Amino acid sequence: MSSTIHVPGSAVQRPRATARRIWASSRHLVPVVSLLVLIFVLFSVTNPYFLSAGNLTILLTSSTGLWVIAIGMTAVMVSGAVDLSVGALVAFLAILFAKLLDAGVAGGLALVLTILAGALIGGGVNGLLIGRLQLSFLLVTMASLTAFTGFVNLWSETKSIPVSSPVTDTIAFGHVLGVNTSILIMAAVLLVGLFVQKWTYFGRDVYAVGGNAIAARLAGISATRTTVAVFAISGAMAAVAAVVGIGRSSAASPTVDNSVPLQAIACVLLGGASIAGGSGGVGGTALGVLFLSTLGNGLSLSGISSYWQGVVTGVILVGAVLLNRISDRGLSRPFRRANPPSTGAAPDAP
Amino acid sequence: MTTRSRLPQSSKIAATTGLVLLAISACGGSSGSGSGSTSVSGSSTASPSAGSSTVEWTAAPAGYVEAGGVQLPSQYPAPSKNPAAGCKIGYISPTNAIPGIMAEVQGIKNTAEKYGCTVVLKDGQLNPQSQVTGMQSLLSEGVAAIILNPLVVGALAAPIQQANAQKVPVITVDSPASPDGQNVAGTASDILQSRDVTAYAAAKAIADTKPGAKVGLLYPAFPAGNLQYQVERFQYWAQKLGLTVAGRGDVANDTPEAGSQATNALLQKNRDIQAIMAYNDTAAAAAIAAARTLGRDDVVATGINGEQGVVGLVQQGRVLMTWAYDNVRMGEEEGKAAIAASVGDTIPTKVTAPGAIIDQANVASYKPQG
Repeated sequence: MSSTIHVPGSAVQRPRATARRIWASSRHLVPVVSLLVLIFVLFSVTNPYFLSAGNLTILLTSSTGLWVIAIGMTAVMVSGAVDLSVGALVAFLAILFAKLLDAGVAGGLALVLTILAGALIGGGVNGLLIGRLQLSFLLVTMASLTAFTGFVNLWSETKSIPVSSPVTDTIAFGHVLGVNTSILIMAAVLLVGLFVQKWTYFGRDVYAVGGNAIAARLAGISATRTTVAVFAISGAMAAVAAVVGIGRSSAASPTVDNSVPLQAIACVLLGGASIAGGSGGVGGTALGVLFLSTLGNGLSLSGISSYWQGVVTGVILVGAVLLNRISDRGLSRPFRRANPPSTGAAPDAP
Repeated sequence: MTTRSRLPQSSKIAATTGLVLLAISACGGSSGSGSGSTSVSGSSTASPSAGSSTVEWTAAPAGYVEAGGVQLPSQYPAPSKNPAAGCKIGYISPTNAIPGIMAEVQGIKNTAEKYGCTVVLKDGQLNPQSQVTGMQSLLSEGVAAIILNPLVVGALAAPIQQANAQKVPVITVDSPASPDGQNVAGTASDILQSRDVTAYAAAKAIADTKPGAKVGLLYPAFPAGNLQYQVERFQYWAQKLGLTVAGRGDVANDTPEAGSQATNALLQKNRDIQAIMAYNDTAAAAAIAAARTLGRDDVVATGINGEQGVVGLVQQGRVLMTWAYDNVRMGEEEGKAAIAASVGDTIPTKVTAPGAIIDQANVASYKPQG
């Protein structure tokens, strides 16, 4: 009679442990993935136009701006803050880009300078005030939202600026190996985000600061530098979104879309992040953006009144966040307060 | 161990670079904006092939018959007497941060200065409550008349009554937008932004370029009664001029993304649509972007407002035309109406603001006001 001897770390146990690790790190994505698959199947079955190549391309390209901004917002939210000024910064940087082109700066250089400016403004204004002076991120980013909006109106005289540049045209409508450039930008931003999040010390620092800033400081992590850096990333992403937006509309608009930061926050939360910081990740955020974009696209194609679209989107968002909560804490106690507070260990943290 | 990092050295470099950036962009100077020539002339429908026509401002393009057969004047009579010295004219904007508003305010100031008055501007901040507060504030400041560009007319019923009680005349802008609609109770006059005229001009531009084409309409599915009326008139004039209205796309909010999404839905369901009639230039540009992404370079659009941002698309022929408002002149007429009503003159209850068709033929000579 043979018997099996349990040997920890044996070849039989290792795949199970790996599977458990993968499940633990991606469990928070189950609600958003499930909902995404559900609506995708639903719209595919009910609408003959949904799966057409043209529609799927539009679905992705029209969400490029939100995608890029939401990935920047992920860094900010994982660090435990929120950037409410990002919509105004997009408008400001769009005007800056157009003015640089007007000044005779080449399109490529103008793009680089605009991204640099976004990083400098985001990090230098919001980042320093919040990270260095320890001011409330809500107050600071609301104040900078107001200030950027005023500055945009002053600078642009509330006039949009026509932009005709091969760079913006290529970004919005160009193709590389048959793939739309906007989609490639989305992929590149996601991959870089994943790399920074998983494989760099900075990525770990962001989770540490968001999870417990005091513990992070005690561990020798500079919370100030990390905060400045995440707001710089958010600013740089705002610049990319600004240029993408210019490409699609052939003009730099001074109009500030105040719904942008809220949509980005919704996507980050849908992706499994906590409003308290220390959790979430760019992978989840990307799924959140895909979910919101697919929902909007499908409802629009289905001919549902936009008033109802708003209602349906709101209800589904609440449902998604609730599912997240249930997935996180179990069906029996989804509303119980987390105790003790999160240590900051992100489900998909490195 | 607590780590308190000093301000990084790189911050100083960053600040310097930022200043250099701003300096470079500031050197670009004007982006081509400025006041356009505003001489009002007869009707104009420039030929799209001419290429060098000039912009002509008109209240009614050739061939246009106003809704309900109503013939409206395009200007107010000059005030019969001067107002009291140091009089103040109040203006409440929907928000100061939209193109054209400051040009309109400049027009009001032009007239006010001519009659020894000053203008008090209140920013509505896209908030009906701010407009109510603005009205009350203007009344407490003792203005002689109020020009009101309302967000939600119903929300202003009480302050309008209050103005009536203080014998302060109220002039509305584009509320209601219809030439045959009844003016808001308690208001002296309404200056229309020629929504019906613009709808005619847009439909005619498409009918001339693509006779019998199938068109899609972009509808503002957000609170903007005048723009919704605009789309109703698009439908009317499109059918009247032999076009087929294939469908309507609801634009959830006034952003390029929402315009793009609505256009996509329209073009997916109606693949033979050849033109999109948009309620403003932002929506027109979004429609073109969506069509281009779908590989539909043949789809054209029409816009409204004559915004600087759409000029390039008009030059390329992707946007067939936009209707530009002469905002300075409209403001001057509003100023005349306000002063005339404040001195007790009887003024027309409705006046149509002039505008101009901007197309490929005359866009080179067009200078947007905002």
